[in-house]
Amino acid sequence: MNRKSVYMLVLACVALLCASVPAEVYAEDPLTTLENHELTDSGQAATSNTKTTDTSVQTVAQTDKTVAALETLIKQYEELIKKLEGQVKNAKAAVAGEEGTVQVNSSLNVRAGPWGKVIGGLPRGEKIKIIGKEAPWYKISYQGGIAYVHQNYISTASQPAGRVPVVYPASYAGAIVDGTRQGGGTSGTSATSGTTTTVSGDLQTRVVKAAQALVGMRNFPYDPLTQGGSLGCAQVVSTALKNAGVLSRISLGVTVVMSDLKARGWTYAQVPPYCAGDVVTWKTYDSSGDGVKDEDTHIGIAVENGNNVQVMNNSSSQKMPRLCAANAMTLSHVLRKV
Amino acid sequence: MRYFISLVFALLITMPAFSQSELSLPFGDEAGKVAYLNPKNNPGVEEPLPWGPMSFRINGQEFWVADTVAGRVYRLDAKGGILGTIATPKSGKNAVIEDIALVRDAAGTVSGVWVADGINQEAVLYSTDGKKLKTLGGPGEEPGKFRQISRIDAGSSGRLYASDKGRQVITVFQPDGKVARELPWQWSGFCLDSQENLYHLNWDSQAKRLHLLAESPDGKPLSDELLELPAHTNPELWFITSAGEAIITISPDGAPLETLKLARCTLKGKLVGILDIKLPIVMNRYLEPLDAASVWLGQVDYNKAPAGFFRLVPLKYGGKPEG
Repeated sequence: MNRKSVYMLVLACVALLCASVPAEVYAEDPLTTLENHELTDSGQAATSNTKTTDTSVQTVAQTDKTVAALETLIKQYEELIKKLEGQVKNAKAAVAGEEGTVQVNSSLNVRAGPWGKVIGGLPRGEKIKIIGKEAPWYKISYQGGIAYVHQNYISTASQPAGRVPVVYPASYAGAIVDGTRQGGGTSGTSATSGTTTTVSGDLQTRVVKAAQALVGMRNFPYDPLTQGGSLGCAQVVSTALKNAGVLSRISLGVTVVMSDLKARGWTYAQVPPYCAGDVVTWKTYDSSGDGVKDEDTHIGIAVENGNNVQVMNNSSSQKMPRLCAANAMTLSHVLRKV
Repeated sequence: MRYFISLVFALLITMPAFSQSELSLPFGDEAGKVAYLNPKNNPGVEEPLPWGPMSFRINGQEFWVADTVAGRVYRLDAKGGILGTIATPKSGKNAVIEDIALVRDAAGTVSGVWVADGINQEAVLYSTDGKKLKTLGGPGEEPGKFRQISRIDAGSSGRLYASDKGRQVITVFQPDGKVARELPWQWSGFCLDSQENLYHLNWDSQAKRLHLLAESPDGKPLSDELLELPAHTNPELWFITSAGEAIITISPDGAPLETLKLARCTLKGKLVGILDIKLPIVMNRYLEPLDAASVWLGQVDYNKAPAGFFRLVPLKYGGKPEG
């Protein structure tokens, strides 16, 4: 055996030793945190993904733990709803003479009248003096005259920004986008109701427009139960679908959104090809604690540009809706309105 | 038999070491490794993407790798040795480097690196020793702002070219940072040639054909050529080779989106060659020029991290036109 062979043999032994080391096991505590649940609008946690076996002591213990966690969660959710209801009741628009602060990404449209001509813009953080109120608008002093800004984008001592639904009139022809864009926008209402915008056109066009309008939105009003947006995918998608006039409510659970769509005649579709407006779900993580990624743990809306397809979906790490390739994750289902 | 198996194992594990061209980086937060984000280190989070290095660039024998999650840019030699590291600020615990672009002087030496910061929606220029020199963009709707910054490229004139998925435009910034112009962009890549002419794609939805468009650095139209490509979706233009060919990836019609073909077309639009490639899961920029006959291809699956490696492998074209 020559020197080179000895060298190879030593390396081979190292390789065999490495191969014999067991792979690292990632044990995850099932269903102990919010992110493991699918939450319905009514605050109930759906347990369809919870897998148990009646013969395993460990599994029974886990189930007990799960039930306890769910009970705690439901209580927390109920308390939160009460708290939010209280906040909404207590929320009051500013009174004349009060000072407000512009809360938009970059620039807030200043209009000659409610949904009137845009006559200027105010940067984020700009202080304004409110001289009157014509809900949902504030009348302000602007360049020596009177102008209007939407209440949703103004924070005052009595009402934070993002609490007033932005509902575009049916005749409105401006772009349907967020508060930084032409048309006034959708910086959002309260976290529990999400952004409210009406988008016109046929269903597919409306869905795509509403989805694209949310891309890059850095102040999306995530519900507290989404953990600051970490679990905001269903809220983002159902907000877009509600803005498009497809759904009547905003949900925090992927399966809830799917059920709502199916109840409105949406059916499963085979891809490829994707169609703009398709609602896509993926399996992205293990929600049931069995060590296997579960179906329908993430949701998005397919949008098209040229002959490119991307999917608008919520980014946990960036805390904003963004576009990514449809093939970036393992596909679960595609729902389409035919 | 045992000796034979040992020999095979030995060859398998020593092959990368003897290869001068492939670069493999292990996963981890330590220096010399690349960070990742997937359900293994972030259980229960619905994060849509497994994250890891999103982009890389080549300059001669140097590899520049965007360690997207850790917020750093590595300058590496051909064997993966660290020549330098540029640290970019994190926003909270997050960093998302979407893309990087190298600024080269007349001699071809890298004098700076542009970083597309996906958290702050900015393009930031760093010196090679890590000093922040310039910041462009920021979140917003108006020209020069970004909703979702995507690919960037630096011209020899000092201009920066940046694409925005959200606003669906390519923004051209002058060397002084002012916006020179913006042009519509269909998420289909773009690139600069050696003269800093800007190439991009345009899908004609009426004729259902893809065009390769070129314009001069100051925005004058130079050419508009129909591309001879098979029926497809998701075209992306990557670069113009030293042989004057446009490198474009497409998903053939009817095939799963992860099925990709790499096509070479002349600047007149004629298809020269096409071959299958494996899509890395998930990178923003996964192709870079190597020579007239091959490319650098990113190969990785961040779902599997920390197992496996982030790999940059040379790939010869070798394919012939189909049909």
